[in-house]
Amino acid sequence: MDSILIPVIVFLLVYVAITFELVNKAVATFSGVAILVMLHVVSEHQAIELIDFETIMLLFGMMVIVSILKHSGLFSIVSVKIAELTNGSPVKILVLFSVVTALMSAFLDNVTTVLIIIPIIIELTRGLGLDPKKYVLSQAIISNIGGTATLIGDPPNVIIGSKVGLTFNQFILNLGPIVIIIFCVSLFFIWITNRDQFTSIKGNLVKIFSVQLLLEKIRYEFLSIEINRRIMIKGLVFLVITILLFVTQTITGLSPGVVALSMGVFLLLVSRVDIEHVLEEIEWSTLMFFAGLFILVGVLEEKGVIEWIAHHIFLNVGDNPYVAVLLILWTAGIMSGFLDNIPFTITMIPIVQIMLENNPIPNNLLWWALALGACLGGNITIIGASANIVSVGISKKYGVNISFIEFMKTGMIISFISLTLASLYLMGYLWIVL
Amino acid sequence: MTDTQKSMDKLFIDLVKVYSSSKTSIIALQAIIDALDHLECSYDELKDQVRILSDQIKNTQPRMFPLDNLMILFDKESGSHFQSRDIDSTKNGLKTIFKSYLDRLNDDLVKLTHQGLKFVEDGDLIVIHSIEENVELLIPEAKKQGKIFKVLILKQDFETTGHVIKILDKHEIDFQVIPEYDLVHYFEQVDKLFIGAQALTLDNKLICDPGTSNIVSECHLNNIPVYLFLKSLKLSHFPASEQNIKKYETKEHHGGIEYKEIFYSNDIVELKLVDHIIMENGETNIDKVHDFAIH
Repeated sequence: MDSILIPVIVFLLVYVAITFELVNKAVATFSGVAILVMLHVVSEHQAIELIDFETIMLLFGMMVIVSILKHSGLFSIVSVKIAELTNGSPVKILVLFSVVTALMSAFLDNVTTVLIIIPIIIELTRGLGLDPKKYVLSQAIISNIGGTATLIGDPPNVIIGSKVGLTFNQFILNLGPIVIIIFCVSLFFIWITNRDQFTSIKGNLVKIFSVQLLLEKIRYEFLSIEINRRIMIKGLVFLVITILLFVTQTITGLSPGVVALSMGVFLLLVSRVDIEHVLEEIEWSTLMFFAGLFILVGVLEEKGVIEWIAHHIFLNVGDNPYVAVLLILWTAGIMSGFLDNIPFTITMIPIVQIMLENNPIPNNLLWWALALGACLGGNITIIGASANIVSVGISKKYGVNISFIEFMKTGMIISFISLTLASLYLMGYLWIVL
Repeated sequence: MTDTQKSMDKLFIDLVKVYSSSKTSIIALQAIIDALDHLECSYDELKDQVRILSDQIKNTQPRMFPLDNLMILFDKESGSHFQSRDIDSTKNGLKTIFKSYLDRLNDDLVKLTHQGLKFVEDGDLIVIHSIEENVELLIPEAKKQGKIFKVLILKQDFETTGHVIKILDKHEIDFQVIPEYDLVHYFEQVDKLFIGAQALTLDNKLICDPGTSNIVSECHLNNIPVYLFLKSLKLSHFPASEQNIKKYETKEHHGGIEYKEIFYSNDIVELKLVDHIIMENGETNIDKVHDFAIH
């Protein structure tokens, strides 16, 4: 009994520390690991074996590629070009930036995406005399929706893909269609509920004139960094190769982790960028956080705690596949809104595995339910996803304060709509395959 | 003050931090031409729209020269274009006026640069501190012509000084950066101070970037000749008190003490402290300078 009690208490304490941001997430998880090792609940060798290095490799490799692309100035160029394309039209600002945010979040990483998009969208909307809040909110929400579409788009997907062995193509083929629908419906919702913010400026000479001045200011402000076309081209070539290797995973037999790490390292080699500079950009604390969580959840799994939760909570609902899929989707959705979705996903993976052993549901539908729930539920509150926290943080720096409640008012409704659409999609999918 | 007026003022203030007032005016003229292209309204609305834009530009805080003068000219010249009742030909007529202003501004800048070159001599150590035509055009042109000189940049705010450094570095001009308050240590070495201005008021006050007044006064006291490069379009029809210089008040904190900080968008410099006034047609003096104002 004692051997179960200690890891459970440590795990709960770490979870509380993470949720209420009492200490740095990586420090919280590794403190938990240190306690377990010191109390001989797990040996240091066992702890290392519990880390899923496939996930760590995938995250590290993508961080290297994104860091090099960021330093080349690519993202700034893209943002400024999009700003120019909008020509100050509020609807175009919403739609074009949302498309870019969704695509960048799907194929790169959504924190980097909002870091680049939010400042430019604040400058643009504020210069037009619009309230930047709705635009900031929309980009944070869209980044989470876009990231849901691919294996590399959002941390929960990275974890599910790596731990379960689902491919890049499986993610994009199974989640892509519903993500596109959710993206369109969410944008429509944002537009319809804030129509006064999206009136055309075509009939207002002063506003059109101000937009032209504003674009000049934005060009100066965001393109004053050094643009390195040589590195940009190399970075883009390697990004395309990486995605191609993800897509052809079943042919090459190379896992996403191996592909991302190899391409990241090769890009470092050929771009000849300052390695120290790139390494500074790597989110080491995130990687440590992942590694620590894998150990904590691994210990719970080995001690039979996860199996107990699976049997006593999730398997209690019976063997109706529709109920099981909806249970995972909505539990993941609601929990991810209030808890960090990374530890939640890591905890849920062994539970879903046990559920599948007891009640096999075809076409990985339970995994898609977990991925959709964990990613889309992150939109409920500011703390639900890293992109939300970062978006609100940057906005504050620019004098735009978004409160927890303000975020939740929009985020909760969009999450509810998203999860309802995801439910219909999964139910339909299940009805077809059963 | 309306929100759109506030937004416009802020945009001009931000642009003037990194471009000269002439270049900002060129950007604004091109922006008006583009805006007219994109505008969708009826013929009856057009006149009102143009009037509102002109009024807002003339009411910016601070006044934006040479654009302010050009809009006064525009108000006089545009009347005849509103008689055709055809929106496209009216828009084209208005755009032609603004294009002619663009040409005029560019020509004036070429002439001013040409006149200014006479005052850059081999061996000079020239002091500069803000972005005006002398930094954007004159000093790079002097370098292109093979003149051998050095520049001492007096550090201002991060953005402005950063932009000055970029321009000088791009043209491979030898420069050194010092804090403004350290100029005292260089008086034995410096040969001249180059300044520009955003406007010269009716009462002979120069509207300049913040900090210019101190530098000019210090140079004047230490017999360092002050050269002003000024386009005739920057001659204002208003006294300094009507230049709409913007006053800012912010709340600051230090060591737990909250206090109010007040600062202004521009500095005011007495023209009599300037030793040489160089305009498009050559050097002039304080008594004749206003003869070149537009009417």
